Amino acid sequence: LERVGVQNASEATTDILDPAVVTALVRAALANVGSVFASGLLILLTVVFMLLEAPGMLAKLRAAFRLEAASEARVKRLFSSLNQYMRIKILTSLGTAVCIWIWLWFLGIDFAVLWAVLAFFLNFIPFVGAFLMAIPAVLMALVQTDLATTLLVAAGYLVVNTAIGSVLEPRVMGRGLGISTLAVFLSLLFWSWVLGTVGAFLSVPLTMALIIAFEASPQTRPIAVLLGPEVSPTESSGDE
Amino acid sequence: MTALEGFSPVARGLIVAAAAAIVVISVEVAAAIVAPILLAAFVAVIASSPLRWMQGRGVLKLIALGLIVFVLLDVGSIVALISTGALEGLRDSLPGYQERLILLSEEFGG
Repeated sequence: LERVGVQNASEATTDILDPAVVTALVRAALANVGSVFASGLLILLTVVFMLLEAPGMLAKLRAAFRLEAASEARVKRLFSSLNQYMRIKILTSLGTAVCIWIWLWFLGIDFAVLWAVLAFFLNFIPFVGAFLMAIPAVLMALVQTDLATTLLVAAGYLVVNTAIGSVLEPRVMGRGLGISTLAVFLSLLFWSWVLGTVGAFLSVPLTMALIIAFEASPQTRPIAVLLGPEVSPTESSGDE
Repeated sequence: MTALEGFSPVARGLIVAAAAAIVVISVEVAAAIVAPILLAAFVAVIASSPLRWMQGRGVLKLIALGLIVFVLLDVGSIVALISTGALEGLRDSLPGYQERLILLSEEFGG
């Protein structure tokens, strides 16, 4: 009975995912790993130089642009909110990866560590990442075990992503995020078009930075308000 | 804004939109160089708080920086090791999975 009930789903899955396509994807991923770590070294060097200059950065900005107190506070707010966002995101991604790893290991799926690493990185991509991280592990479960286990794997991903992404994260972030949901989604599309994969990973912090920059000038403040969180009625009437 | 005052509101909007479009398109063309720099900037933002913390406790700047680089390299190489090892294992066992996938698709699709 259960077999009959689930038959359609698996039929669709195997039709969509041609074995040849999957093989090609894995090959491409393998070829990419080398170039990723080559550019990783470049990024690390850049980070080191940036960190060397970081302590004097504010003084430099002050001298270069004759910063007023208000804009200086804005720069500080930008860095602290980016910092807070990245820290929370790293912790929640780590939590997601650990939960996924334990669950896959418990179910005996092959390469559980790999899927956990994948989950850690894809958790940085809003909305789409949660689906993307589940696909390879569910496929793996499908070819490796029976349908019941596959459904359990998919349910595990669903539960972990809902618990961490939709319940825990908003609660911890609070109003720190300050972007409307629609803007998060649109910025994901926009930044992944502009900057490729890196853009998808950085879409939320980039948009946060843009909003704070837009707030700086009266001409662009409307854009910041449109991209920002919902405005409470008292706030909107009190605005100049 | 004084330079734009001679234009009608519609023309002003068009000029601003065109300027924004030029900026976005240039960023897209330069993505190969902009993306790593942006990524580095965000990593630097994250790494700057432990750096400041260590410096606040009297650790020398170079030592603190070296520690951060060490940790970043460590994390990177561990992730690389895990994922390349697992990917290679995956590649080795791929033919078996492929066979099984074809079998499955024949069983359900046929």
